[in-house]
Amino acid sequence: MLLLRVLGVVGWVGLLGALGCAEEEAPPGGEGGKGPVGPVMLEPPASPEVGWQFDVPPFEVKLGEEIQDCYFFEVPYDVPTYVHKITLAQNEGSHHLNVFRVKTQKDLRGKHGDRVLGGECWKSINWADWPLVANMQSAGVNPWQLPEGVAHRFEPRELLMVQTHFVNATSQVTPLGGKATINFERIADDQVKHELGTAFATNQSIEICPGQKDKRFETSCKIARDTPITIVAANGHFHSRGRRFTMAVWDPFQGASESMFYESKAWNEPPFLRDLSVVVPPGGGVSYACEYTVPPSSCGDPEKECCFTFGPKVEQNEHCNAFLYYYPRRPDTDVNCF
Amino acid sequence: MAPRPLLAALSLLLACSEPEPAPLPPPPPSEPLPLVVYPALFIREDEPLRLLQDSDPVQLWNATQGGHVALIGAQIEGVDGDTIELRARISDPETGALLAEESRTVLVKPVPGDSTRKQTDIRTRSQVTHIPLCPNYEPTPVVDRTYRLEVRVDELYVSPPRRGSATLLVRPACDELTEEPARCRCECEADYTLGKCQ
Repeated sequence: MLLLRVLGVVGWVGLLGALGCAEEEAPPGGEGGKGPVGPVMLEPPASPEVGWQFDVPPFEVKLGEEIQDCYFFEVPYDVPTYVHKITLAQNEGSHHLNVFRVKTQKDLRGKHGDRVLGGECWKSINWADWPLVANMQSAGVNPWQLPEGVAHRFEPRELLMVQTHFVNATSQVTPLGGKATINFERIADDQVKHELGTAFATNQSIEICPGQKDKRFETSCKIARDTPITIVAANGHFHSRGRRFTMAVWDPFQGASESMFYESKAWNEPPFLRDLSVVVPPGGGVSYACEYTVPPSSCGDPEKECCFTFGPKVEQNEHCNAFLYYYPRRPDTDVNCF
Repeated sequence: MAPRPLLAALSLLLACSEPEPAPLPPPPPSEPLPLVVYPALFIREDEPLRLLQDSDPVQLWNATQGGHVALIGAQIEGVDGDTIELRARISDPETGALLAEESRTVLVKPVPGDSTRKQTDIRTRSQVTHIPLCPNYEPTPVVDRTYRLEVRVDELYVSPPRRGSATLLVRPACDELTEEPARCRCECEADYTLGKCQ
């Protein structure tokens, strides 16, 4: 255990070094995204001038349960606020932790302090036009420092939704219950050179059936408009049938580049690449691909010949989702691709 | 010096063993015949595919989580196996700029009543490409405008693999397959922004 702790801290310092923050100390309660040894602990920013914290209090995840909850928080400032560092912390067993800006509220509704446990929080159509803010799939404490001069902009009292998903079943286990905490650290307005933009892309109507091997789905998401953009972070997401997740620049005349900027073969702890500098030409975007293999004995949906189709339940469904962060933000919109 | 009869015999021998022309190199392995691809629109499960002709409308379908996609399959001549990679691209015929592209591994089955063709499995829409056309963040609208559709098929798990493609002009439309035509048209207008069509 001591060795694990030492390795964890070394890995943490290495990560911080890669981020250019090696002078910071390892945070408490986590092991740098490699799985905590206890419930995650994350101290809030020292003052409102430094930033703020959203905290999802601990909750039980019983054996065999899969829990997805939505929490609504307001950005606690009356002026536009820029954020240059986000730290996402969560217990082991997390399937994902996503943050969105709330736009149209239909069946999933909330105001500051509200929470929706399960129910409409499972139905992704409810947040189809909500721009992505941040996401993380790794347990532990995961700091994400944006490149110099790049920042998320939040409007006064902007409403955000934090979505947690914990699994305590065969594919993932949650030994310590659910818990998630997020810190947002501010940057002075005059230090901001570029706003961060985001893109959330999901390939739907995927279907993988028992006995199928290396079944591949690839699609495009157009992000850049009139000027080039630079992708600074990326994360892919699928479930346990996923074998390989890749992303490449998609040129508006040539299509997908042969060289990938993202590759993941780990469905449960996919890398969140946060030191990228991938240029996308005007009119371009990304091509992302998911490959799956299903053992002959597996069964997803018994009513569909045991195939696994698009959906949020880890044990029964599959996903092929890409999370992308870039600058400069498009002046007109963030991007969701379906 | 060799005696004259020996020289004569030697010269005769040389004349007889004059090298023959080198044999022709073996012919290059013949390029497999290309597949013949007929792009088609998926309508509903277990319904026949609708073969597409130049300038045909391509009805868009509302995807589960949002957005509208073109469900493009194909009938194919020459496929030996039962698995292909199906790729479809939509581009602007005037500029050549791509609008969207999708590919997936799909199953093909014999076309009923036609022993020469196979088609993408019509039992589920998961076996056709879902070209993500809307929401449309571009400065030009998607529906009721002509685009180039290219469909490419690559055989998988057979040797030698064969490939084929077809290109035609199509007009994306929001009339038949979407549950919300007004929303479809809104998402497919130029300059979509998140939240615009709620």
